[in-house]
Amino acid sequence: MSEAPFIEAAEIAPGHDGAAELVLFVRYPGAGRQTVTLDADAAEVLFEHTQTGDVSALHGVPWHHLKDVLQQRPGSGAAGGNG
Amino acid sequence: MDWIIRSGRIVDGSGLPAFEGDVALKDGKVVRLGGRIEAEGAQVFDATGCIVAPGFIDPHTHFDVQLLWDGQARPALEHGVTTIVPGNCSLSLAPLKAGDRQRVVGMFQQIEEMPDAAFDGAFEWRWESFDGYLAALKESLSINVAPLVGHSVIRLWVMGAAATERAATAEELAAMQDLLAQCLEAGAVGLSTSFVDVDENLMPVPSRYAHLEELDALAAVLGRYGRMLQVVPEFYATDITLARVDQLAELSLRYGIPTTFSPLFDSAATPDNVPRVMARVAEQMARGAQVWPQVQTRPIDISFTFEVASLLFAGLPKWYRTMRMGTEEKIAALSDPEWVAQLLAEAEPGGNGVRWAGVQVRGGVSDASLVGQTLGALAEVQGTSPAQVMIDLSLQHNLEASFIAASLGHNDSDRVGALLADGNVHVGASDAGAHIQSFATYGDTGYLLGHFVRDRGALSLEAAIKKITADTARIWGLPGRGQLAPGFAGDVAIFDAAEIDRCAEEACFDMPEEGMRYVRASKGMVGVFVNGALSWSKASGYADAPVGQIATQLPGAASA
Repeated sequence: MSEAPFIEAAEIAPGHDGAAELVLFVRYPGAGRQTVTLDADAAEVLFEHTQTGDVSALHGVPWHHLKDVLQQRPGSGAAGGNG
Repeated sequence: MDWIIRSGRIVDGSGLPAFEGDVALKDGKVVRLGGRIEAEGAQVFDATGCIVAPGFIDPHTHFDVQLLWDGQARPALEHGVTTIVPGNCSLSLAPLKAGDRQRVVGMFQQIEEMPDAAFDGAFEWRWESFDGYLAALKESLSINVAPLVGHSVIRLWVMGAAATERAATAEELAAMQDLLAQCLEAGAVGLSTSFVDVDENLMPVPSRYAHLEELDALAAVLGRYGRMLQVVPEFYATDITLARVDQLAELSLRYGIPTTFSPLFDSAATPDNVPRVMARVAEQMARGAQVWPQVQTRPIDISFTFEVASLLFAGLPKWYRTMRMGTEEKIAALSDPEWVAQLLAEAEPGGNGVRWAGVQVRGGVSDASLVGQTLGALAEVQGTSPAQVMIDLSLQHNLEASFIAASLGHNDSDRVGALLADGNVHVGASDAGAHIQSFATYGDTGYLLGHFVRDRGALSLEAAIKKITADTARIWGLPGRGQLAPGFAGDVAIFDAAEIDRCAEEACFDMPEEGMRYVRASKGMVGVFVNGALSWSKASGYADAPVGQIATQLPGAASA
């Protein structure tokens, strides 16, 4: 078992604002699981990083690694989506 | 009597079985109902074969701006909605100092997709205070309004630029409490706050800079008036939403206030979200807390064009790669038969659960007759594949053709129907008046009564009506509304239960300076009374009667 949290699954889902969004399922050591939802701009950053447009390429990737990538993008402190 | 609504089947909002009879209205209120009522000189509305119900109450709208030039909140009224709650998600148009207007305009443009023209000449800013805003509304109000005051604008009033920089000082907190009390005295139904919304620069709105102590201090003021706290939680993350449910429950118990949060969606991608949140809600409700999750009735659609890389294509690597190209490169690729052959091979049978054949043309095409048609139908006529039709239409229209993949989320009718029927669920979250250039937010009540009541039997008609009338009035503390009973407001929706629904989404150019928005007309609704006045009918359309009232106050006589 991995020592660090990793992406167990990634799916495209419909968002509240009528756009598609990327849902990451993060598996933590000790069996904890969390979902992280990203809009198209944030997902684009990940796809740029993984050099692919395929969600399956995110499977198994360490979560901290992706989090670092996301936090380095411009405006990353303003994550949120309008309700 | 002013009006007799004749020979309808009355569903009075109480949840009790329907019964036959007349409803009499006088001086803006219901005065009698049931049996045959005769009154000399009264006008008669023939409701034979129709359901006669209390007017519906929509607890989550963003009509704050639209109401200033359209006091009927079109098309909400024609769907039977007679009372609306604007000011959600921390955002309202008052209290607001003149110098802060542009900042709030930016938030409205981001959250509601309101065009510039909506703020530039469509109405005259004549207020700063909350009661000033209500006075401006009342000049041409044809629908009842129970307005929330936004936490973000309260913060902005007291803290100015620092509202998006830091936590409040003790003095600022006290000033916010005083200001909130003034708004509640003026007629606000409660306070709205948000933990997720962003402004036009994608920066957090002011309410997101508040510490927990600030929300607690404001909830204490709500407690003095028994008023509502509305919250947008981090709805995309179940664990954080659970923490917010607990937080709201503590505030509810501590100050004796109702709280509500929205949205709560059912999603195939996160199937445990709703069960976990509802279990926590049930646990807190059993403690005596009021934490009402708002659930919308309509499914979620996804719209897209080939201009922008929609994540809808992210499961199709070749397509997504194409979508991320620059415009010229993209057009060249889509014009290359070899490249297109690879796209078509990857497109079948469909990616991310999308059946391309069911995707509809939404707009951006020169031939208006194509709008609303499915790619599958067009492909059959043209003897090609749905994906090829999508590519061809995009190329023919410089990538501006737009498409809609309908019902992709919140779309499992069994699960959503059971959720809507749950006694702890508050039917709402329509977002009417927001997202206006992305999708239509009107007709959710028609969808509830048509799809979930008539077609699916998920709720009885009486139970569904109760949820969107008497239950909503009780949850929000709206006196004298939500039921057909003597002394209650003459807010009435009359509809054909066999026909009630929402019409197809259509683009409409009725915003200031012919700005576009998406709307849905009503279907099956035949008449709507507001405070005893016929305000819309299928036969005559909208009546220009300024009979709307501030719904936090007891109903009064209609002025027209």
